[in-house]
Amino acid sequence: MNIKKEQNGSEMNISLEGRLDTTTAPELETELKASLEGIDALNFDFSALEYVSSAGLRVLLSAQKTMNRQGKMVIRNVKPEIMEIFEVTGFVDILTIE
Amino acid sequence: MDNRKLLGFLVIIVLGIIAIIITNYLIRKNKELKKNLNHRYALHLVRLAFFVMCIVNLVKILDPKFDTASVLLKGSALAVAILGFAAQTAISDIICGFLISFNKPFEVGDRIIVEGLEPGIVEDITLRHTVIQIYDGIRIIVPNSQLNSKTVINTSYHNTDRRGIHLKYSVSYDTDVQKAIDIIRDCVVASPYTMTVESNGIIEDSGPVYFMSYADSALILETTIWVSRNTNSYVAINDMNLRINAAFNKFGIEIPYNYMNVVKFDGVPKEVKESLPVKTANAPLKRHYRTDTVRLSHGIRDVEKALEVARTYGKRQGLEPRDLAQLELLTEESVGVIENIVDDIPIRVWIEGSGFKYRIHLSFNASVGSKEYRKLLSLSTSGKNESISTLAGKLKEIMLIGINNTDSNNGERKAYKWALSDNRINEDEIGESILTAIASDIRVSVTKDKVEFLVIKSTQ
Repeated sequence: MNIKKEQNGSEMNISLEGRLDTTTAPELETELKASLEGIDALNFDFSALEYVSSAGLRVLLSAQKTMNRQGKMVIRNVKPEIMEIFEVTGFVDILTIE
Repeated sequence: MDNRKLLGFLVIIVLGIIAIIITNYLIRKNKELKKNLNHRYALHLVRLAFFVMCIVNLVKILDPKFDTASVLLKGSALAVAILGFAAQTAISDIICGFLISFNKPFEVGDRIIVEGLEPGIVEDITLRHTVIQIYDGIRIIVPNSQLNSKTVINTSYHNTDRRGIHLKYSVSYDTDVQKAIDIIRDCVVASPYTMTVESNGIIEDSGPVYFMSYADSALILETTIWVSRNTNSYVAINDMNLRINAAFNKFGIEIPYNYMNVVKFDGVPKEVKESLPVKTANAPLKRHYRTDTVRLSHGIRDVEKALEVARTYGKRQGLEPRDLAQLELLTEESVGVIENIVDDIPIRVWIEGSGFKYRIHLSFNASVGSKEYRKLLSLSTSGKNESISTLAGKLKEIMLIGINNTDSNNGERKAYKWALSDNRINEDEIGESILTAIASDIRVSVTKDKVEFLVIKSTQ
């Protein structure tokens, strides 16, 4: 999985490309832990993300909890297959998806 | 002979002729009798009995003192012995015919192979013999006594609409066997004479082709095709052989034969081989396939190994990208869920299915405690242990988890509700929620020392 990160002041934009599964989720988790301090707006771009499993959802859940304390988190350009996972797991009610 | 006797004589002859005409008509024209072995035999028997009655009555008219019982019981022992000895073959045929019609090792219309004879279709049975039709109108007349004592292969046993034809093909030792199998199955599908096959409840476009044996110069591939009872078997076999011969030539599959001299053979040009597609435009999708079994030992590569199995299955079965993604997801979540329930126990994983339906199998050898047992049952769609079928099994389950926990889910899926304010979100349940939401069915089978976890998905 490729993680592209851009920071503008207290806003961070992260684009994910590839798969967010058991093997790649730890990489994103490490990246977020190292980067979220001082950030009040976290934006994810999922236009190139093809697959997400429960491991990825756990990382997103953890990020959402963190950002709820610090500011806000938004996920954009979600592919239909990923949206289906969000819907069947109920995560569509937890995450802010645009 | 007086007029009365003459009249009686004529009446009996006329009745006899009428009876023969009626039975012949019934045998030839009645649809039920045409295809029913024991009814046909019974009718022959009735005709024989009627014939004997007519003869006896005719003799009685000519000789009123004639007594059938006396003739049989008091007649010359030598005459009876000679008659019996001369007729023993005929009597044996009649009795064997009766046994065949009663036990029905085959039915009219069945394709049978009698030891030492050509395969053919059962056309008729009489008191003495059975008629088997082979090529184009040629019949084999087999005495019932021989048929009763020989081994008979019935390719249509208890099949009222179809008959099976077993075919064998030889390919050379350096053949890509899987490719040859695919080619044979494509040819079966392409033939207008072959029918679909039901396997494990799935209608497949063709039956499996098996790599059955090694011969001196060849690998032997075998399959059974199914044709309608109205189809001439030789026409179907001819069509299949023509197609397979052409396909093998086209794709460079060598049909080996013994060489007397060494002959230089360049084979199909490499560029031709590489340019030819493996499957035809109408490549079938519904074929049963089982992956290899992988063993997971709770290492960091477990999920990746399981996903490789899923990708192998998906590629083999030609799954659409969305279906493949769901297969991978179900595989990943199944492994995660089971590895969370059992620690350090090796798990075997394989996937099998037929195109539109697949099953992810996870199996491990262990005796589970009540907590793990409840957890496994909670994932099952029915909430039941599929291996429990006896009262003893049910009692054991009650001992394990208590009587209040043995009710089934009645097919209702557990609802997963998340709230970020709830710090008790169990992150393990995220995987379970994906699994139970996407799978068509989940079945759990727990025995004393083995657990089978089965995730079923229909892609249509």
